[in-house]
Amino acid sequence: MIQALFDGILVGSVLSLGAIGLTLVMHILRFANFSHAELLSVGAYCALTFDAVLSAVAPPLQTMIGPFSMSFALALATIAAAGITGLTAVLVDRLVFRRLRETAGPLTLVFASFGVALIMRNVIALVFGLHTQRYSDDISFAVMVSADPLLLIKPDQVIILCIAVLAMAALHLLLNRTTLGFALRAIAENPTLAQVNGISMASMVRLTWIIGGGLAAIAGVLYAMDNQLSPVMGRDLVLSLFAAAIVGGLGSVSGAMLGGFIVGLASSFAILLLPAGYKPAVPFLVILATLYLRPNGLFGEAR
Amino acid sequence: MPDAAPFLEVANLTAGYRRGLPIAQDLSLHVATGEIVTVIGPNGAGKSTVLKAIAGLIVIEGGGIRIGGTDITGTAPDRLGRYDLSYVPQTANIFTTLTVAQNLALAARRCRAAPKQRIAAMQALFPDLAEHRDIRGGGLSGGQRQMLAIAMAMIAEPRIVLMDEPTAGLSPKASRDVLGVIGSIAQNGVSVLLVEQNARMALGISDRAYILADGRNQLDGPAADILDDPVVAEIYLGGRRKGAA
Repeated sequence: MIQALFDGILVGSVLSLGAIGLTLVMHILRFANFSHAELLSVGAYCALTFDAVLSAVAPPLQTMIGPFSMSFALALATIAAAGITGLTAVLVDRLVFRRLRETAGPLTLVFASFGVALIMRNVIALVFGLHTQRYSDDISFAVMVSADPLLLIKPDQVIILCIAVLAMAALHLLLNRTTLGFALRAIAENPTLAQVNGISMASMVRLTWIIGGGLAAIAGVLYAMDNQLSPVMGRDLVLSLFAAAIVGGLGSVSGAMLGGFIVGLASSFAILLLPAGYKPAVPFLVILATLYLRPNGLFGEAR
Repeated sequence: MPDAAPFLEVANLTAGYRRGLPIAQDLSLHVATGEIVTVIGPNGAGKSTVLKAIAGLIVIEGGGIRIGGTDITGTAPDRLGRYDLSYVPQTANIFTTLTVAQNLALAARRCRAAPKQRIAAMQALFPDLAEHRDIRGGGLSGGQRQMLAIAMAMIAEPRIVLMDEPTAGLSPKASRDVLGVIGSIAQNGVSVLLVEQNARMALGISDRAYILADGRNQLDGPAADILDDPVVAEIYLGGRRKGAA
């Protein structure tokens, strides 16, 4: 039971990070972006590339950080990947979504996002191959924290949880303590009033993509650290990310954070009750339960 | 006494919410420095449309808008602060999910002077806002919301403020308070272009007024003359004024 709780929190922290960008885009740009999960793959593979480059250029960076299987090179690569993924999101917006926002309705944007997801997934497969990859071939052994009840934790899982929580805390501070964060919230609430108060819509849209893409990249790296890299990891996570955003309430950043943990815990505890084959269905059940009990999610507002 | 030279000039403006469907048609008006000018007229006359056109929020199909001699026709709304212009919309004129302090901090991004000093100045001008600084905008009363909206507009020290029905939905006392604040703003040399349904009250604090109908100019002149005009009173101000001939 306690193992399921820890595993659920761990998975939930990664889902939360991924869902934040999704909900931000839904709140500010008013469409469901089904290509968002692919940004996790973009980030994860960017980090793989930067990790390889940094390790080749500066071999001392291959040194592992403490007991973790994360090297200094991978840590730096993650930061670079967050930036590149954010810029990728801005580029995709400029090439596809911005044009459609000006000329088409929200449903067109949704269908376009399916197309963008397919393109991103297949480009990654083309460049990196369909096989799975790992950041490190070192075996990370789990440490028995408790024998009864049994709780096994890998050091990597601790750093994954810490990085996810730190990233969410940083975003929380940005949104609630800085005028840039106020501006982002203002654009989401009332774009017209925000603009007459001197806030540039175009700048805030770019910032939304950069934040969403950056957090997705970090989520992708953390997910791949605990699992492995695969071109279809975005496809595998998209439903869980949407479930997290829907449970939290579309548009609510704190809701997405909580929603991620709820979906992670539900998936983890479901294994105790259901055959493992039913695990992928759990996010569906969470979405259905949320829509039935609380259609606007935990923190969402009626529209 | 207001400076007679026009600071804001709207000339032959044709504008609307969709191209080809103009609401304001060939409309002209001007506002001098330190002057309060009220625009009145029946519903659908194009009063709010004029303000939105000046604020860059709707489609301008003809005519021009100048501030201090500079053409600002079609300028994006987020750039109007550069021309010392602020706009207070009729509804949804504060951010309800942000606190009073956050609303002011956001508006203060446009300040040329130190933002903290300007926030302090607004809180001194509107003590209620200082008292409720940590309350979310959605939790304020109607009067407090309008005060916050006006403070957000004034924080960047504009030279002209456009106000769209600032007393809408307010109690008579709150309306008087709001109009009193508008009067004091103009006394400090700031021009005000005011759209009001509460025409008599607005004309009482105004220097001049324009009457619009069907998106066109119908009449303009000193506010006192319009207030005392029995025909205008009958048609636009809801009946004759007490004591009028």
